[in-house]
Amino acid sequence: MSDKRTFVQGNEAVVEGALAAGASFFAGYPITPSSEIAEMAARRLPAIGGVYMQMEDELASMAAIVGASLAGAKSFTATSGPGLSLMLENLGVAIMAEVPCVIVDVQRSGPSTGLATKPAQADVMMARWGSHGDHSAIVLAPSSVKECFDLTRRAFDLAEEYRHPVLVLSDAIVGHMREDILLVPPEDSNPITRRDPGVDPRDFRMHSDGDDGLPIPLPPFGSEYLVRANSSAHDDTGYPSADPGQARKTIRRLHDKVENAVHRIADYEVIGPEDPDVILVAYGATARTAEQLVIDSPGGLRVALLKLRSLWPFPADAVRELVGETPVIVPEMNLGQMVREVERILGPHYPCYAYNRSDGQAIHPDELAEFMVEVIS
Amino acid sequence: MPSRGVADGATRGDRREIVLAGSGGQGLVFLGRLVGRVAAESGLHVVQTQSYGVASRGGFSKSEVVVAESPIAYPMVLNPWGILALTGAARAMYPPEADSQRLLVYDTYDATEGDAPGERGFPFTVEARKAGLEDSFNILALGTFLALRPVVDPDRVLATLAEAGGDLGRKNRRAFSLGIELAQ
Repeated sequence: MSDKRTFVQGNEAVVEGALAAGASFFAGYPITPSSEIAEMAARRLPAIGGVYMQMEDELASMAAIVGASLAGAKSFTATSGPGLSLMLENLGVAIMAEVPCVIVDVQRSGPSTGLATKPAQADVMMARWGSHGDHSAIVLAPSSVKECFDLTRRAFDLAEEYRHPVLVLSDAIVGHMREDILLVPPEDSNPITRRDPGVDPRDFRMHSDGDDGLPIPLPPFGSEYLVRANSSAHDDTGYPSADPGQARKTIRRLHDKVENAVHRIADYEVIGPEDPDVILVAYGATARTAEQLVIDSPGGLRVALLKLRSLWPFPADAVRELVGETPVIVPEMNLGQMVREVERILGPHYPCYAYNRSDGQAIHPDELAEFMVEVIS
Repeated sequence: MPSRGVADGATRGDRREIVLAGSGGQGLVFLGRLVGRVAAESGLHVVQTQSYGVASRGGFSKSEVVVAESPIAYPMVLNPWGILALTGAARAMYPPEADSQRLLVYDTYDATEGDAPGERGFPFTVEARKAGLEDSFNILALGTFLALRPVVDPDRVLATLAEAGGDLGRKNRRAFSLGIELAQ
């Protein structure tokens, strides 16, 4: 790869980002609008000694990337909403057994098969809460081809650091568009590599923390360490335990390791004037519509964009601080998902408005401008 | 990581937008990718999008390209500077606009002739057949279109087409040059 600007599709940039992160294993079941990720992974991974596995369905795909990760590989899969629905069970296994892996969901319009080729942003809450039981979630949302690369690349690092499955929540617009980008060559990428646990194998405890306060690195199956990947409630060695005190400890650990790290995980960008009349809180393709309003200043309004590149854990303190007392609009290609979180953290009396579109179409800058001028002026 | 950016004085006026419209299978996405690649390699910011779905098996299909000196916010076309319509149905999708800089370039083979202001018809299909370049008819049309609406330098497109060797590469270069001549 040369250092000149290239012209790449969002889904292709996801694969480039995965390779830059050191991914060596993909298992999946191609589905529109994510299929180019599987197609490119099939081409690229074998060429670098990696593995592409075409699975029989999404349940098996998710199981395979969990297994590959336990065997020492950085693994990922790609799907869309209907496929993510099927992956949720084994996503829970990855959460419970603390197995790093990356899942890319290129969102399309649902429910069910829905508008198979059209975009949506309606998987935001499935990404957060879809798998059953108390758990946390790390979810990143790209709004450009460059962010498809950067956020996928980072998703693998976060997965390794927190030993947690990480979701990249793309959408059919971002996944299928092509943009000019400067790709970082894999040799300049410096991803987090999976380290040796650094303890005597006899003292290794699968669900303990290292000196850095992060979960102890995961040794591969077959090494001298005893790795118990257990989807049932377990103690810190992975051995089954039905003790309520132990269950409390395990569940809190899985939750707190992510939620308490929100300041380290949070990723967002503020675009526009420092003293805006209105702030648009947006993510994914809709952030591009919102950014157009920053440029256009419809109705003479000074518009700023708070672009969320990480959705979960939700950066509540940062959002509160950034919006101050400025009115907020949350545009989404769904009937109102992230806006509920924004409303929740800003309180019931805050001037926070939702703009929603759920018909497989992008939100056009002119329709959002019209709504904005009406509610703000 | 958290960061603060500025909308660096970009305006909608900075955008040069084109629509490549026609029927699924005519290579409209290919044309958009070609223009986009040339734009990116010219140091411009560029976004290419397309209609995606069953249209790729026939029916109305389009590919859009937005080119600008500054970073591009909204990725799809807001106000096209040029539209290339390769079918009559595609031409009908974009009725002429009064007082607009917009130019619609269409193939007279499959459309009612008679140009309204802001429209120009060319016999792309007929000319391609005469020259034995039927397979490269879309490239021929792109040559004419870019001569009239140069969102990228047509010479750079020709140079990019030259990278592909073989019979198809030769035909595409001939077709593109013929298209440019047709515009004059």
